[in-house]
Amino acid sequence: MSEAKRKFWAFAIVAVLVLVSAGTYLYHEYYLYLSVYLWFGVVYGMCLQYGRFCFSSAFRDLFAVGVPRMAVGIMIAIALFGLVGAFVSATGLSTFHSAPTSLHAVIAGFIFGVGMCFAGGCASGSMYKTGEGNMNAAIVILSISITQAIFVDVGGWTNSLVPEAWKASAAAKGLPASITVSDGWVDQYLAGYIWDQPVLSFASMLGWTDHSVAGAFVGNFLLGVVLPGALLLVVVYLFWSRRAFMRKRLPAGTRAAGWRDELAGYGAMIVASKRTAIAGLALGIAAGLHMYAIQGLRVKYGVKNAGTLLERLGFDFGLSVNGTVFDPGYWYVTTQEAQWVGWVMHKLGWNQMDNIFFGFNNGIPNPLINPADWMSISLFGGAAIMALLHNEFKFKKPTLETAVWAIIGGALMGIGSRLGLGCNVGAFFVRVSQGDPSGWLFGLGMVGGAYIGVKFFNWWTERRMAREFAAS
Amino acid sequence: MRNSLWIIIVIMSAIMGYMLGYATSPMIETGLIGGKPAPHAATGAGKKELEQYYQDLFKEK
Repeated sequence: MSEAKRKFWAFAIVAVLVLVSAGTYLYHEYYLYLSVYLWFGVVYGMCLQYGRFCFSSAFRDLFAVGVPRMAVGIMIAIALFGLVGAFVSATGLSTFHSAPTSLHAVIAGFIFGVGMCFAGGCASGSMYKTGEGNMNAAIVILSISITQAIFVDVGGWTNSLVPEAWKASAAAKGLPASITVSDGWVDQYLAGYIWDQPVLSFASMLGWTDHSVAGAFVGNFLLGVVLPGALLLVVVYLFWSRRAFMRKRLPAGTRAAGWRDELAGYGAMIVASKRTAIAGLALGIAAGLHMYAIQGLRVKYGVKNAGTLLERLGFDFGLSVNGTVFDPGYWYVTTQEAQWVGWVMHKLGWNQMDNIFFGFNNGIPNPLINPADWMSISLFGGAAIMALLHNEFKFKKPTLETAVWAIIGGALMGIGSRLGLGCNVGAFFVRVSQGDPSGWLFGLGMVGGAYIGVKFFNWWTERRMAREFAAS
Repeated sequence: MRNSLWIIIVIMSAIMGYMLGYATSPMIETGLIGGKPAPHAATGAGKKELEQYYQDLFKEK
């Protein structure tokens, strides 16, 4: 594509988004709430594409070829986002809520980690790659979405797999009659197990509130993000970065490495991931401002959730039994894509409003007026803008083999996301940076799963190549 | 290409600046930013009720 054409398409995307924002705002000011999601989605897409922000690539580079650059960049991005998040929390404007903490996060992260290596991209990575024209990544997104929508509503024989304790606990929650909590594995997992787990933050474990200065900066940021992050980077340095650095700095037989050399090596490893770190800083600032803008509009319109706004606008279909829709108030990735599929399935006759995920928590509003969907759609747009302007946009068709891996990997990520109440963004990146220990547990599982996934994928590829050589 | 990117960033900054400004005024009026409500927002019983309503929105059920 010529430079002029690429420029044209980049500006055309911006123009369409401006028209949507301006047109809907002129129709009713409540649409500004959706436009906030829309424009922050563009920023997220641009940052993801610029920083090549993909957790799958990070772990593949680390475990398969020993290159830590991307993994280090993501860790730095988490720390920078954590700093912004601490500021937003301390001012009382954060929309973040910690998730229940237990072993489930490790298992969910493991399944997700295996899936993202099979698929060749995590949830956020697949989104920006879709924006770059990669149709294999689009299949991954579709697979994640369909799997989630099916998984959260599957009952029947799966009910026999539910432990009795979960069944009893779920039944005792007194959920509305429209939610058939006794029918559905995920429903009973959520109401019977997850909701009984403690909701923690590093600040609360130390006796502070998340909104206090000490809680936000010392508890959640310093002890919850910086300290464990720095220790993890030491591990990465010792196992993957140190040897190559020392080989260059200290040619054989000159002298033994001292503290200065080690610090220089540690610093060089961090600086090497400049582009991902810059993207992480921008993501952190954007996510903080996103929380701020949403909180301000909630005060302005006198609402706690976008569901009320949609109802006032006359859209009452697809609201949860609580009158809410998915409205995180910050960067999130997988839930809204599940809503697309849930909405389609419901329209086709599969009742999706009798489960907790859609019917009680998130709803399935029309994708055209779903706030978080505006963020996802514009995220594709933001990634496309950046890719077009950097000559990195290319329409890529999947092969049968890559499509199959995309479907399998996407399905595993979908299941992992629902078990962990989020993906690599919602359950790891955001939670870790906001001082939620369950984020680290999900990350622990994700690293383990990624390791197994990379090793399995390497074994599979080598086996297939050996067969091809033997046949030729 | 770099100019094009900067033009897009400026357009986006203008739009997002407007949205952030729009979101800031109610928070100043209710005292969420700046510690205490602006004088005009605190006068009159109706305004006080409104202020309390906004503050209650942030309380957990």
